[in-house]
Amino acid sequence: MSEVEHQKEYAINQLDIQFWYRRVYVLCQSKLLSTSDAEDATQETFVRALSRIHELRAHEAMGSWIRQISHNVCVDIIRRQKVRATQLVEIHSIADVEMDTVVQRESREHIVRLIHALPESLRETILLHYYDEMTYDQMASWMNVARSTVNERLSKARQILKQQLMTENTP
Amino acid sequence: MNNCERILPLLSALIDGELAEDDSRDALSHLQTCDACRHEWEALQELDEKLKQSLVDFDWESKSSAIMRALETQSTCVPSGWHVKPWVSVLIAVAAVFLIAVLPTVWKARDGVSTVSPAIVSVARLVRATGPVQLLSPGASDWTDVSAESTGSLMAGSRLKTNNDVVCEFETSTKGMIRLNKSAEMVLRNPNQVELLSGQLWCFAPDDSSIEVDVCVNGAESSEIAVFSCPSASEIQCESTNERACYNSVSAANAHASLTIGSFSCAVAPGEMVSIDSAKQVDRSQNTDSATKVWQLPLLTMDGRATRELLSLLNHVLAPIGMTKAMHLNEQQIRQLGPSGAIPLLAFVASESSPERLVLRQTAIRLAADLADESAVELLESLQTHEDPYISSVAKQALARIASR
Repeated sequence: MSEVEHQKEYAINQLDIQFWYRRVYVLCQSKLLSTSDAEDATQETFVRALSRIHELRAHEAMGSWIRQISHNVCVDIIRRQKVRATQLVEIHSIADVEMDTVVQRESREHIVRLIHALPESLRETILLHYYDEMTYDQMASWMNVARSTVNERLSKARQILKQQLMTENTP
Repeated sequence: MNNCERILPLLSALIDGELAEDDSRDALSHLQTCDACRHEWEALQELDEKLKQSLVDFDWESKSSAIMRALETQSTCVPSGWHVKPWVSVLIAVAAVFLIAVLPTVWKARDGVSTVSPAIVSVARLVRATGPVQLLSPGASDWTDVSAESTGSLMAGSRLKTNNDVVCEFETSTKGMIRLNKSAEMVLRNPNQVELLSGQLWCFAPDDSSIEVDVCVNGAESSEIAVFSCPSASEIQCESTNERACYNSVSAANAHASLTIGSFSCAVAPGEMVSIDSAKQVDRSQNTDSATKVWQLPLLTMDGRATRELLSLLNHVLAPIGMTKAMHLNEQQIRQLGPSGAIPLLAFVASESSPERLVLRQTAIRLAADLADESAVELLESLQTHEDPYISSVAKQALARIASR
């Protein structure tokens, strides 16, 4: 392997996209709501990160560094598009299309709508939990909050969702 | 604090297996004895199940690998006529990534401004062109000539220009179609967004997504961007002319669309033509010009096959000729035209729909039916189901006559 290839591999390996992808995506989705915007923003985050990896002094700081980049990317996008309407967005939720009845799909879309109506911090926490199966400690360190805050946010988000689903079922 | 008040806030963490052992034991034993809390617990479990089902994992692996691949094979613009061995392009790509990873230090030292990241997603490809198309790749400083054969995928941010005798067609990665007229210039922002800087552009949005066309409207004092929407499964034509942006919803089969400029926005009906200037003065008219899309003919005839699209465009162009014939030539003159006279007449019958011309159309089909030969079969077939019983029956008779020959 040539020196150039080594350098490239080193940079990309250092970034460890596989590891960060989901949480960056969840952050972008929490902020931007639209799936395609979130994908664009995720990609943009890694492009920026790769081009600035030399700025990173300590590898341990990568989480908050990448989160900050991602945050900036989202802010740029929001600024560019002015404020996004909170239209219904397709969170990836199609597991088994053949088994997917209309009712099931509707109920999924409905839950997605409810998640989107949550405050951003609660939305991110709940998406992280279900998308990435992160532990409370991992989420706390990624979002730079206390473990107890993660617990409170999840609990709160579940309370709100449960309440809303319940009131709908008992008209 | 009674037991319930202490236990309830723990349930969420209990579901996730994130409770300390003591708390977990306390909670579980409390649930055995307290109906209210158990009810709450069951409701939470049900919600958890629902959320798990709703937020099913999607293919993260392929998403993140796609980014890796994109980063690894950073776009490199190869001038047309260059035939490069695969390993060379890999080397170039590798070098590009290396530059991105390493060079920012140098750039930064030089100008103190953080670099704008290059857009690296492939958004479209050039399908065909009647001559060389000029491309300015994102990050490149020089224009290069490209052709459908020489260029692979076009990256987001690609700027494309046609000179005064080239028209070209692109396919977006979402299967939309974009055609650029002569002397036009555009920037591909992403598969669903294109910016028209000058000239004329036609696009057809795929069934499952829309395309946004941003057209620059130059005013006396300032310029503004008019945002035109091309709804899914619709075709529109946009033009940036002197101080105006023109939106043409070219097909009556289009969905309703909209145009926005600044805080102003208005609806565009199918088949309607709207032009707007920077003072937001709107001109509306019905699109009656059958020659609107004629500039696309060279593209449609390139592969030498008569596609449905080509035929329908030809019919569209022929229709007014058919109407002129039916109106101004006498019957004998038309009959002297022979079978070739049938096509424009039939095209007129097929495309015209105003009730006051019904008699004219009936005359036209009667004449065309006598003249028609095999070349008119397709048009006649489309007229078999015409809403007017006379037209449909004459079309059927003509088809039967042609078939029996």
